[in-house]
Amino acid sequence: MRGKNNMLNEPIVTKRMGFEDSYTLERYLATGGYEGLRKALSMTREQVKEEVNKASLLGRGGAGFPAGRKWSMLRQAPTSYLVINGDESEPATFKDHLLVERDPHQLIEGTMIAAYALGVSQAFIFTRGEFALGIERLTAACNEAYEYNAVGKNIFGSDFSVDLVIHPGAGAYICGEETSLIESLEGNRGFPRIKPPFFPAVTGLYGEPTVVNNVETMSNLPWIVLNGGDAFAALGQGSSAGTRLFALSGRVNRPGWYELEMSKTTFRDLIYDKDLGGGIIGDKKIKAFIPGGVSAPWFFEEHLDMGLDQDAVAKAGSMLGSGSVVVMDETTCVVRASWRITRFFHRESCGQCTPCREGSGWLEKIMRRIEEGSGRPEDLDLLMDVCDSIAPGVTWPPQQTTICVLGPSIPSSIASAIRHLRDEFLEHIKLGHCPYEKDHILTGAAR
Amino acid sequence: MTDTVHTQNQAEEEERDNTVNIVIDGVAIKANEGELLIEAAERNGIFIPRFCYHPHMEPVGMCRMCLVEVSGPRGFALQPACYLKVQENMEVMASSDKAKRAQEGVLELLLINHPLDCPVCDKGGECPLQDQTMSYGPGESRFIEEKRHFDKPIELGPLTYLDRERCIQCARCTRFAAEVAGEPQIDFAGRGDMTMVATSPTRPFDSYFSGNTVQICPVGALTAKAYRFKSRPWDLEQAETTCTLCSVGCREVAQSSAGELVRYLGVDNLTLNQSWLCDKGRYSFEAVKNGRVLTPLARHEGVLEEVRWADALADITAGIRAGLAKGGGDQIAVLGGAKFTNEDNYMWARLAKGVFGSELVDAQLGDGFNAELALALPRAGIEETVNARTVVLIAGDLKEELPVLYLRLYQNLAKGKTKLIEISPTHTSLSDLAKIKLSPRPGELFSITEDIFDVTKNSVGSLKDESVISSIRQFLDVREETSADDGEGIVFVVGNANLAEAPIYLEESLKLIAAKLPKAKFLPALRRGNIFGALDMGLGPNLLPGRINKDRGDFFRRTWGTLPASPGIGTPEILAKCAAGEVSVLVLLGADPLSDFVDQALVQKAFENTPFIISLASHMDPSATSADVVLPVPYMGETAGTVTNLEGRVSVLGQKVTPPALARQPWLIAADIARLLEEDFGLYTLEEVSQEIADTVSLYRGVSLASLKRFGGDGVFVPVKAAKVKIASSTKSIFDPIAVPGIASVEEQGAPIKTGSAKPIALQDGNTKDSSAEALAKGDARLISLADVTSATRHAGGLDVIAEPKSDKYSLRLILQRDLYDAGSTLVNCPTLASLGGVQEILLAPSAASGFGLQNGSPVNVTGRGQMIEAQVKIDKSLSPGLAVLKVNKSKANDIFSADVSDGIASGRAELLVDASALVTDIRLETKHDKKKELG
Repeated sequence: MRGKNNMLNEPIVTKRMGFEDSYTLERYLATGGYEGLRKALSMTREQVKEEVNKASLLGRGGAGFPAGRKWSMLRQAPTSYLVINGDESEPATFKDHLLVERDPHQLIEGTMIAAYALGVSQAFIFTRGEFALGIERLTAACNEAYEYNAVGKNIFGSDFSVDLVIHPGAGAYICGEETSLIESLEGNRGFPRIKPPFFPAVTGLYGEPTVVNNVETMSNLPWIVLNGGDAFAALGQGSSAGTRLFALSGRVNRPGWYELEMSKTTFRDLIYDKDLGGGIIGDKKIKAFIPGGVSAPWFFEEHLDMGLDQDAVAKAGSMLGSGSVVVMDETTCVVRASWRITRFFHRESCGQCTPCREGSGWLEKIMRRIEEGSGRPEDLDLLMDVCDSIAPGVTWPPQQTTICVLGPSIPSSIASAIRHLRDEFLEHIKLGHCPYEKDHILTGAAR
Repeated sequence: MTDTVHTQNQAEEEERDNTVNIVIDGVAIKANEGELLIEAAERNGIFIPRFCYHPHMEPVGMCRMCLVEVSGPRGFALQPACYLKVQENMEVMASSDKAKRAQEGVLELLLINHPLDCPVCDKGGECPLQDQTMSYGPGESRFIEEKRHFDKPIELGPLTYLDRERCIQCARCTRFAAEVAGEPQIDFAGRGDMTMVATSPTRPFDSYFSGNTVQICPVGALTAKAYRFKSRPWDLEQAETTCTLCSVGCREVAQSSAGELVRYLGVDNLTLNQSWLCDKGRYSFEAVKNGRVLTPLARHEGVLEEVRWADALADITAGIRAGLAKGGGDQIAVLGGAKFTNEDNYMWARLAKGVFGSELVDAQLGDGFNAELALALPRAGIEETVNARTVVLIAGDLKEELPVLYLRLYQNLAKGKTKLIEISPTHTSLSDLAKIKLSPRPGELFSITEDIFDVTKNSVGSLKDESVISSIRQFLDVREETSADDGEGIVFVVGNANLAEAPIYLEESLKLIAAKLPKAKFLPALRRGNIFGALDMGLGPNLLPGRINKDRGDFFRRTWGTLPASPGIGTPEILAKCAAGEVSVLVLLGADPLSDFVDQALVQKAFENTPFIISLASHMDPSATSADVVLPVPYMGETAGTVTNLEGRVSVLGQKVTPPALARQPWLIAADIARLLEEDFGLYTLEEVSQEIADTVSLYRGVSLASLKRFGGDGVFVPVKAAKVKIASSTKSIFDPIAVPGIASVEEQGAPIKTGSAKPIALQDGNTKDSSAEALAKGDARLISLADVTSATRHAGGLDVIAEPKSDKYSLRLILQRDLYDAGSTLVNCPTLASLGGVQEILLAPSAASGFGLQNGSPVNVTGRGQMIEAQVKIDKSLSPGLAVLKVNKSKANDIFSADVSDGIASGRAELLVDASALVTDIRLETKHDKKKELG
């Protein structure tokens, strides 16, 4: 994975990425590792929480909920848990992958700081099962951390003890949804839980209050504790504080990860700056881009000058989500692109709620049919209507007929494509193949 | 008869203080706090469509059919009514455009992969998917793609097929299995639109309750082997009735097509079976057609031949006259009655005791315990039991003996609504949920009971762990200073857990418990169908109709003319008299001791030495085959009358199909015999018999067929304490899917709609003769109490024999139990159930098995009492060494229809090893010569 952070004076979560042995305890300690935890242990729990609050650290999992507020919602109970969500499974999203694989100690240190602040004695890191190398390194790091006494009994001689379990998932995108993740962790089928209760912080793992935080969120904590919440909040702008790790992919010259100060950088910078995306391959025109993972509605040329800012993106009708930006150039087939995204959701729908279970399949079958040359003009309205059955109104943020948000994520790509590039859809249907596909083998329209 | 005191609405108003005001579709509604929106709406007549919602299971919100618009902080939003709880001032739009659009969308999506093979689907015509599509769905489908395909149907278990294409993933069946039955044998596999219900690869869906999943499936995905393609719903006729296969007495509807019984469905009532049935009860309708006695038969020159009723009755009358002439009532024994109705049993009790003057009368077949004691113990109902502070199980495995009682108890134990102490010799289906589990060895129960209640005793008798006894004492509040309130909130479920052990240990324990815990209640787990009705009608030793001890029988002596002089004895002693040649006539009231009595050597001798045996039988069972006269009687589904369950709930049997042409109801046979003996009872119709019971049996005062049909619902509890009684359950369910348009079929069975508190009604009217009141006033019809219980006669030494008998070191002490699928007449005559019988297995402790060099599945010979049977070894870690467990009525062969059926059953029969007069039974093992091993 190629990436960059030298736009920043001091990278926060990617500072060790330049080292080949970034994942070892040796390198971690040589680069200031576990100093944040030591400092946190010298502070009171309230002081640590206060720093995180001051940092206005937004959750990096996709919903962007302030981490400090999430922590404050934790119901007081004799037993509570901390669960780290590392089930990053969405196409084109690979920031947590990087952090787990290349800097596992930073994740563990952040987790320990959060565990201390929350007063929990049992933490879990739920990682995507397909992170083979990541799981190997994270497990090794966990063992090293136990030996180093950064995890376990009486951490660094304090009276704070916490156990950490690394739990590889079994290969389901849905387990990135926090209640589904909790079900899976309990050993059940990964079905999202019905709400209410709305928050695991009230009723979570084994029915006890549970904080579920993202890998990147945790990885920020050592820096925040060492440098103070104010220093973090000084980066970025407004509610979008600090830096964020973006995963850039698609038709750009330099795909990869980029740690960038939030708000201050625009999508145009990310895609076109020679030190970042380096522009579109072959200097083609941009057709569309996805600003925050395949669940997010698409953006188009007119959005390029928008900053990488959570509120601004939300206001424009999409989301910064998981921080993955996918670029489509003028030759990208929107039918094919949205079919591929829909196919992903079809395969990953957990099967619980009817609209998502059946709707995803229906949408994919129609999209496949159009892509394969058997589309009908009326399919466009049908597609929008099926989308409407899953997410009434097909708006963003969505209304939903389902238990979790996987359902209303399905229409994003189809609705974006049809609403903004309807003519291209119709052309595809008329030709029976993609207008940009030069050496197509399908002849004419089937209907 | 009149409704009195309350209207249902008034009663509801009074009981409701935590009301919440909500508005649905502009109508202001009072809901109960914490109530689900879908239920609040339904109680007020607003039906919100649904598939996955079921009133007796936790909501999952999977189908999304119940989406309605609900007001919230950010305006109206779509919310599922099935798991949303009502809140004060909640505003709901259940039929707004947006709600309708959502419902229509869900239905369209449900149908895209549904095969729409309604014309060949069992569910077609009573299908919630069909019905709701008509009411809420889009007119046409816009789906032109290829539907999802699966192999169909697949066998989910021995009784159930699954069509995965029809499945709409509502999780009703999987939730039933996990939540209600406590057997998560089925769950979802796969994901997305390929999500399917599946079993574990190593175990089929062989739950005793699998049929319930078919009943609650909202589509035709789950179908029953026994019903598949038998009928269409619109061809079904039905009658509400009570299952009489065990004493729980589940309410059900019997459905017939073209005069043939084709299906039973459970009726939803809140306090009894809540719409659930066990598979044995559900599929027993098949027995109506197989193996029946069709005409009266009489033995001429050693062969049973068809005879006319008149000739059969003349033979019988002659036999009885001869017996009476020889030695009075003591020459005539009457066994059985548990398969018959209260009316049948009342008439036979009157005939046996009032005409024959016989006290050789017992409806139990030696597998329960002292009938007087069972009736005298303060009785608990099922609802009271499953909600008790503490339940103490001193019985066998309820799942095997009283399946639906297990179901009710399991759910409340799993939810923590009650606590269980289990004192049972083996590991039962409830053991894992017990707070305390004690496994007394055969012969040890009474000493354990003494240990528990003798607080002053320093050392605990036979138990090593004194702390167990002290924690039981804590649960039961046993202290040194006793009070009259001791035992409040505790229910003992009591039955004979070991058929190879004399019941005296249990009986003496129960007397001690009842004396020490005056407020404790008991649910006697006598197993047989209408056993409580039979005993209540007087078909038990020393009993008269209405749970009255014979010593207080002046009323019946006057009205019946005579009562027996001799003391009553139970079936084992009666059969011993028969075996000794001291009985001239043995009448079997649906009883089949040749396959249903624990000491087979004794029964065989009794049959050999009794000159005249009369069998009233529905099926040609082994005892009927050996009888001298066989009289055909109706079977379940063909009978009208009333029955009484283990709670004392009296309910009405609905007769759905006509019995074989020549079958006569047992009460009618009793009336005929009485008339032929010149003792005409003057009762010529079922209603007259029923009215006589209501008039003369104080316990059943006012409880007649007529009053029950009018007010009975799911039954009325006896004793009726006042002229006004509470109806057991006021839930009335609608069953005919055709009669009620829309979503009327299975949904209606599931939903406890419009239930109110029990409504007091008057069961008496001015015209009743009410001679029982007169009897009561004189005090000679007092209900039996513990002080009246005749002490056990079998072991006259009393408490001296209550120590555990010693065994020698080469023997194993036998625990003999019954399982649901024994090779009784139900299994033998129901083709679908027949293969479930299973072979005789002997359960051994691991150390005992290894001591003999035996493994799981090893064949072994079991000897005792000079007899030898064959069994397969099954190692049971929960069993202590020195013990062995066998089952009654098991065949050696796996298939009871195989060629060597009689041989197979005979050579696996553990009943050959038991001496009914012994306190405990010891057996020995002989390992079989293993040729394979030798060769290897």
